Amino acid sequence: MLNIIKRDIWIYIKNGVPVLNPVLFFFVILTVYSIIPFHKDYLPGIIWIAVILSLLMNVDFMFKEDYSSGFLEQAMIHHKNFKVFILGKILAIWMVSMAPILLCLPIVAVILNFSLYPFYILFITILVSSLILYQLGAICSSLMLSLKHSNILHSIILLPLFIPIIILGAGSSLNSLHGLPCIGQIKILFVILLNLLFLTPYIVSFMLRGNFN
Amino acid sequence: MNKFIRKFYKWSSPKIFYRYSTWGIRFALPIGLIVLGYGLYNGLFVAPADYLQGDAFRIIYVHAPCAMLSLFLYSVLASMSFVYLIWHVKLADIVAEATAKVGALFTFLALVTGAIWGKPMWGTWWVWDARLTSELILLFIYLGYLLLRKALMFHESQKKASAILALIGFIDIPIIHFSVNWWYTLHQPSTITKLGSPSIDNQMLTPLIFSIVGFFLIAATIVLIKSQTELLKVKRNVLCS
Repeated sequence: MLNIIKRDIWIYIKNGVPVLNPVLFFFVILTVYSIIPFHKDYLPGIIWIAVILSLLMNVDFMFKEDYSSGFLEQAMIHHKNFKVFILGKILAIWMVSMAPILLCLPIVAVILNFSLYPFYILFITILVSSLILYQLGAICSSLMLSLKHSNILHSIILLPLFIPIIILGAGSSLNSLHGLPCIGQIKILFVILLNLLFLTPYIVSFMLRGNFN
Repeated sequence: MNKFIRKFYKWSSPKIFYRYSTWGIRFALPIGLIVLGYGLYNGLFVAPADYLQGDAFRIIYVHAPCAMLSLFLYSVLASMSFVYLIWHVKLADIVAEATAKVGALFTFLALVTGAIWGKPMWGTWWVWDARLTSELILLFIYLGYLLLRKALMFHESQKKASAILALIGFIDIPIIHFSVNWWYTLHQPSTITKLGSPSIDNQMLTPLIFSIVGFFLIAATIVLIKSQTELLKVKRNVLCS
């Protein structure tokens, strides 16, 4: 798994573009929003929207390159543990595109005048739910692997599936802003994450095998 | 092989399905029309007006069956997709597509009739209430399913991919329902009066039951006709190529 993560990150960095795109996009959206005057209650929602939009930018990137180059087929034949391989790929793209955003989150919190406790909650919810969202994205992009231009269709299908996670995550960070209890939502998010970590590799590998037969 | 499985295989052959579904249409369409006509006539003209909502409550005879069908047809779609994934019954895939089309139609109808009822009752066409939001998301999931099918039309993975998407949506719908419910009721109390909790008068209830049964029969008829047409198309393509 470490091998595949290393290889994927190396390839992403070599290509250059998809590494910086989501972070830049995230900051641009936040800047545009900050120009418009808004109520303080909307803050977590705005950060959430920025995260989701920057995630949708490269979520269909996951298997596309390897599919067209034939690496995926090779890996399916040679890897003993194809499910672990898939998990590694998901983690690699998460590290490349979401980890920079998470690292930039303290700066964002300073710019937008967050206090400490709401920031912790925001950080944890985005950490957990971005992992969930990438797994859903992996399932979706394995469904549409054989399509060439699938970006819009991707977002149409993915966003309704994202909604419960958005509700839970944004709700808990909004609650923490008001000093209301917010740990319950995070617990539910963790439960969803653990379930998906188990389920996603099976679904994705089932679908990928279907694509080659 | 036991009797049940043999029957299952027999039913999944297109020829047998076509014959029996023709019988089903002949049976369900007239009965459905009669029952629906009886229910709607009694609901719209005979039943007394509600003491609070006046005549506007009568839209329940169209709205409630549509909303029920939108959820019921999704469960049919999910079970058909399950059957396709496990046993590779091609017929199940065809029925699933027909079901998705009809289900999307009924979801849309439920939303529209709800909005028409909401204008005089609540004063707005639309409220971001829990039930309305989850119904809207259900419509999006239906449309996503249909769009995926359309986009993957000439690909081999079409049937498998759409079946998996339907199953994921089936897992997702209860989660969406509960999370939306939970989230919005934190802020505003639910505005919709539940059908179950206040006991409804028999004079109003009987037409409602009749119209629900009628709507179900007619939806079944549409699904059967649609899947028969699709079957014929598939057969023609096989013969021509």
